[in-house]
Amino acid sequence: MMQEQGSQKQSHLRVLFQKYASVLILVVLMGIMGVASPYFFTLNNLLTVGVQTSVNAVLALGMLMVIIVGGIDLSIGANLALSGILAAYLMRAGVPLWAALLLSISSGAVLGYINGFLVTTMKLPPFIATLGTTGVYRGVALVVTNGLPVSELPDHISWFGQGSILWIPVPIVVMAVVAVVIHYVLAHTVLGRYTYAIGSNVEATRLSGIKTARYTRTIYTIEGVLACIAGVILLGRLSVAQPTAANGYELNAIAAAVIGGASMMGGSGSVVGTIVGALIMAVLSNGFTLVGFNTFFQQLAIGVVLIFAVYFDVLQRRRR
Amino acid sequence: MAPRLEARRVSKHFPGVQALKDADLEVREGEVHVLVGENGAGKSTLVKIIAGIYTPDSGEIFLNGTQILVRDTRTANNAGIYIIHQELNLVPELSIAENIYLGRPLPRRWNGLIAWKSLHADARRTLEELHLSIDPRAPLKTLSIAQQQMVEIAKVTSERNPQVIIMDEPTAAITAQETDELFRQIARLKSRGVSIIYISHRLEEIARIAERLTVMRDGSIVATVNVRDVSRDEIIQMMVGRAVSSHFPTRPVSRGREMLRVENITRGKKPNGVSFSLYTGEVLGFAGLIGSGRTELMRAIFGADRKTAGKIYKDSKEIEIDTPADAVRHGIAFLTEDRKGTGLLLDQPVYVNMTLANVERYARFGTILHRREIHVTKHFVDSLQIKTPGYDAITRNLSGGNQQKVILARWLCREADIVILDEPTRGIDVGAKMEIYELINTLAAANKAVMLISSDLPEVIGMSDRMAVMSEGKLTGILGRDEFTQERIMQLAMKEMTESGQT
Repeated sequence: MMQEQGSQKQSHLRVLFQKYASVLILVVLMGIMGVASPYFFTLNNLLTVGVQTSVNAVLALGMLMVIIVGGIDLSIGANLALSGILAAYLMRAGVPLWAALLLSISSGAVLGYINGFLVTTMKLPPFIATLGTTGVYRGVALVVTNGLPVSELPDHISWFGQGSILWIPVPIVVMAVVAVVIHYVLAHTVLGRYTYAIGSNVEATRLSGIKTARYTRTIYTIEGVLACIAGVILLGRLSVAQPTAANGYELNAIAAAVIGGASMMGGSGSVVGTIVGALIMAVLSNGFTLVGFNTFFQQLAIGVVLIFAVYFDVLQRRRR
Repeated sequence: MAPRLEARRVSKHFPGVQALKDADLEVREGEVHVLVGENGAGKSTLVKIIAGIYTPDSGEIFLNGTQILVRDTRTANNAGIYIIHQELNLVPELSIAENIYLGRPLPRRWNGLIAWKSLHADARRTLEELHLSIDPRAPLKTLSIAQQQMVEIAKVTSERNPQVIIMDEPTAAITAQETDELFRQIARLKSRGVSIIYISHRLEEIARIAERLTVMRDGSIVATVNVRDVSRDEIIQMMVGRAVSSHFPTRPVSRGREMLRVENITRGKKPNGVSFSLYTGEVLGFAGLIGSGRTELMRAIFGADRKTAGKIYKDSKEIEIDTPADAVRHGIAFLTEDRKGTGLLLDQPVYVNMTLANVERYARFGTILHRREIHVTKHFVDSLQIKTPGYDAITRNLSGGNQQKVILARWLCREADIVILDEPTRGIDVGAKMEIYELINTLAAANKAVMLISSDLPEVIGMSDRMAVMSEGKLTGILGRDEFTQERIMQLAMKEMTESGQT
């Protein structure tokens, strides 16, 4: 959040409490899982949790920016699938890995920009615009592949999902780099400042001489790029590009951002909170598997956590 | 015979303002009684108390000689008192018949379902009594504003026993022909013995429909007179009658070269073909009634709304302004009238609000130099004496006057040449007002050009070097300081209305 930069007590306390709520949930959950399974706190398993967090966290960080600017992007799962298929086709056709990934990420940017164009220039409500493009992107992915997975990819793609730098898995490194960059953008750059400003009051921002539409499109474009980066991790983990990949991931991304304190009204939200939100979801999923719970309980638990995290937020706002 | 309605010594206080002081009003049976006064004179407060929308602090209300207790709109309606607001209280999606029955139980059949046939028959009868030939089954939104107003009237006349109908500026949004039809309707209501309290800014309407007239000013009743006995000029004099207070800080007039010239600025009817020049070092006031198109003019100049015609010159060179970003780039600043709605980012810290228009200048390669930004914030918090617990306090928690200073600082740090201030002192306390006046003078002394919109006539008279007066979207005159009389301004402010009312 912006307030992180400040030192003023009142807002600082609120920020602390806000983080405290989700951090508290995370700590309690980890404690429970640690008690339930001695394996939970092994380094191996914690790294697994990190890897399980990565795709959702990268998607959620993009979603966070879109939510702060006052929008929403339902199309990221479809964008991820379509861009992944493009990368897969390019690699199979013998295009070098780096070029294939670069083109795939550019296509993610274009698909994100289209969302921004629909929202700003054509003035569609973000929910509707991206619901529409979800259908289009996913539809194109299904049509070109005839619904079949694209496999037989070059081996080294799996490095992005399964490799490691020193002993840290690559997905965790990617997630960390994205988190640091997005945090820097939101907290310290003009773009980040305008993102919060537009989400707080778009008309006041526009009347201050800021090209709100252009900045909004930029945010949606960045979101498209991040969807694509998440897609590369997923491609590396599965070694196959599916037209149905990441179906419903957009809702997980929204959940992570919101559990982490982002307001759907726009204008607030933080990278730290979002990462904590994504970690909570991964810990739930990992822990339940370790304990041997029916995995269907994960969804139930995530729903409960989401409701309580947002309820804390509502309580604070009411106290204001 | 007791008057139909009597209000005795009614007072109402809002935080920071005595809206109504010991107001007495007497309305006779079957008369049209007009209430006039400037914006903020207390007309709306008085009728809203009579209609049960506000509860008075003190005072009594009598209906046909018996005291009544108007607790809310329902008790007012039960007593036969109705109000028709300028903004109509109807549901566009529902049918006309349903709108007529809005707020009352619909007729039912034996099985509890709505008796549509009798509902429509009732509605049709009500409409016919008003000589309206419209299908009660049609959705309301298919009607014109004037027809919708008739539906509001039908809603009232379909009630058991209307005694008093209050109409708040009913002709503000309708054409001359529609006004004639409304007046015929009012005559019919009168002949049925209904009393009408009629608020209007259009003085020429008064003689056509009203018997008596009450003038309000500063929350008090000035006089109640027979319409026959007074001239238009006398009415205006009563409306503005107070002496212009001299408590505005003075500054030597130092009008310089022409900084801005606008020609034929048009966006539909408001603004409509406005041209004027603005000079360095001057404060050009904009007077006019609410809805005269002053805000719309400024929005068109600033690029907030796209103008349909017109040219803008700065320092004698034509400039293109299509968006607010263009205007800001050319050194124009705009402080909007709606501080919370279109001015502030309420949930962001003070420094974010203050540097919003200028933050790119405090950045290097896209990264904000936070220390520089805070330095600037500190400078303005000190120099404008903004009371805030800290530079990163949430702006929502500041008082209105301090919030206004934060927005002013936003444009001061931008160092704009041309500053448009739209109602800069609305809703802020007297002390902060004085500080803002001083600030306006500082701007003028620094050879900036200021355009000041204010509906507070003494304020705009006290602060301006010249005054532009608008009426119905047109610029009806620019007055020099020696011509600043409230009478003269009022005449210009109502000029277009007289003409459009008679055509």
